[in-house]
Amino acid sequence: MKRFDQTRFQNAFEQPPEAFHETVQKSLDHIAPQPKPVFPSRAVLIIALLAVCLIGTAAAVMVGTTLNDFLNVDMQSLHIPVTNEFAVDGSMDLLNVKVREAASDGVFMHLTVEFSLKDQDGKAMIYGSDVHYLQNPDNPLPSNDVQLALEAVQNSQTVYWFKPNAVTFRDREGVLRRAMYEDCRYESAQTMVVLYWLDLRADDAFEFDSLSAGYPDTLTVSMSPALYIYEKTEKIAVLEKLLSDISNPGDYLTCAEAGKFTISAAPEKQPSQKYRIATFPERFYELRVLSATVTETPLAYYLRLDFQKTEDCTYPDYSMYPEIFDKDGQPLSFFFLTRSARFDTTEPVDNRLEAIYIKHDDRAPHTLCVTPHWDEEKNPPITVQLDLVPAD
Amino acid sequence: MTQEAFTRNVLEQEAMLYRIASTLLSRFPDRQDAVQSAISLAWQHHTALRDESRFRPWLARILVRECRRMQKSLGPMVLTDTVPESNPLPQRDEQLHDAIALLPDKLRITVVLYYVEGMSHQEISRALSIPKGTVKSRLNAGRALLGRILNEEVSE
Repeated sequence: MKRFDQTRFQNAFEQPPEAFHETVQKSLDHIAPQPKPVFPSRAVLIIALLAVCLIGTAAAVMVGTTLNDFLNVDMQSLHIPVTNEFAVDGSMDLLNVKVREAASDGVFMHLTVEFSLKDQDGKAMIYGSDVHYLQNPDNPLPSNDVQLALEAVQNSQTVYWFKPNAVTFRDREGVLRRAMYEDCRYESAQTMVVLYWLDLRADDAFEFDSLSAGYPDTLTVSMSPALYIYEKTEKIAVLEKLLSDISNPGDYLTCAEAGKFTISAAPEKQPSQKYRIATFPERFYELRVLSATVTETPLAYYLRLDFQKTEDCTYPDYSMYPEIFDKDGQPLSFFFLTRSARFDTTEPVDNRLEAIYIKHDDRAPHTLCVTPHWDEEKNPPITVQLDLVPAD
Repeated sequence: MTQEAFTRNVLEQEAMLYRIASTLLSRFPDRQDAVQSAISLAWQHHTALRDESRFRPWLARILVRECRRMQKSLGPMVLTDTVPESNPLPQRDEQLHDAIALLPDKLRITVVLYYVEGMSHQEISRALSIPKGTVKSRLNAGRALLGRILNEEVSE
């Protein structure tokens, strides 16, 4: 079989014909210049307030990847306070660990942590499955930050494979939980920033207000980052084992250092509004809908659907993918919460689907479209209008 | 982003726009309509894009959605090229083109965004509003299917 490379794939498509170029040009000719926005007085006040805050916290101002970059939102414009001060306990010989920012909308706490090599001379580190890019040059180019890191890795004598490891904390009810690390960005081959999502809800609860009385003043987060020696000559087989059994990289790579840290941060309570969806279908395919709720916080909308398998369900498992649109029919980008993209009828704990839409452009969810995976011919997508009614 | 910058960015992505539209829509006029609409929407909402370096996946996402909206109104896609006759197709890898065309819709767009447009898993995840894990599984499935199709072709 021929190898799949990007050039060959691009050659599978013809160049755009002239008529297409004319269409693009015509579309561009018809876009109207947009007037500069006129700031309302409220915005002026906010800017003035921000200016005061910035002066007051000049020492805390930072450069580099921020929560705003990760979430594509301006936390300050949403009035969500961002914390820059933390108590960190722990140290490592090879790695600096620095908590950059934390902010909470009352449901999740978002935490950015910087990991950087103490001795950067001739050394580099690489994260997760990015090693694939080193071993598979036929892969298309990764994003810019990964590309820059990979180039530095190629020129480094010592390369570490970095594993953030599980971050644990206790939620509002004291239950030990594991954070999701949603995103990681390289600032260089020696410094990377990881975004963690700490789900502050109790396991099975979506009742923010009733739980707020038990809201913790301080959240203690435990993390155990590790560095492994990565030989650039590692064989593909080792790499595949490493990535398929990521919980035990020590079986395949030499551990250079494993550390333990605890971080104390203070999540702040934020107002929230819970809605029920006025008209919702009783069934999605062979699944009974038990509840459908939307919760709005200053940062995001959280959609949750709970299902139950019906007696006549013939499928061992379901995978369903929601799409959310605003009132103009434009798609809203959203994230899935843990394991929620898949409904698995063999796992009762997974009988829900949760998605979060970050409010980065003032558009509210209006329509939900759920599409089953693999069996679309038999089960066409279901579209539901999200008429939100404040819950009692 | 200024209007000049927007225009420049769109023109730089013209080939990508064409490939995405070709992947999802079979009729040339439909591709034109979808791209026209996507450009208009992108300009309308361009202030929402805070990081200009993400323009490419952002524009791709808008176009994918526009194509899907059109697909819904047009019905099932019939995989035939209907580029105007006055614009004969330049040479292309017909074998791979046909193999890609045989992929199911969802695998096809994922494979094209990854292998042709060089987008990362994260960018595709955002463009298609699906989890990263789904991107990977669709790529695996697409790769496997393409491999099978091309092996058969090669063996002939």
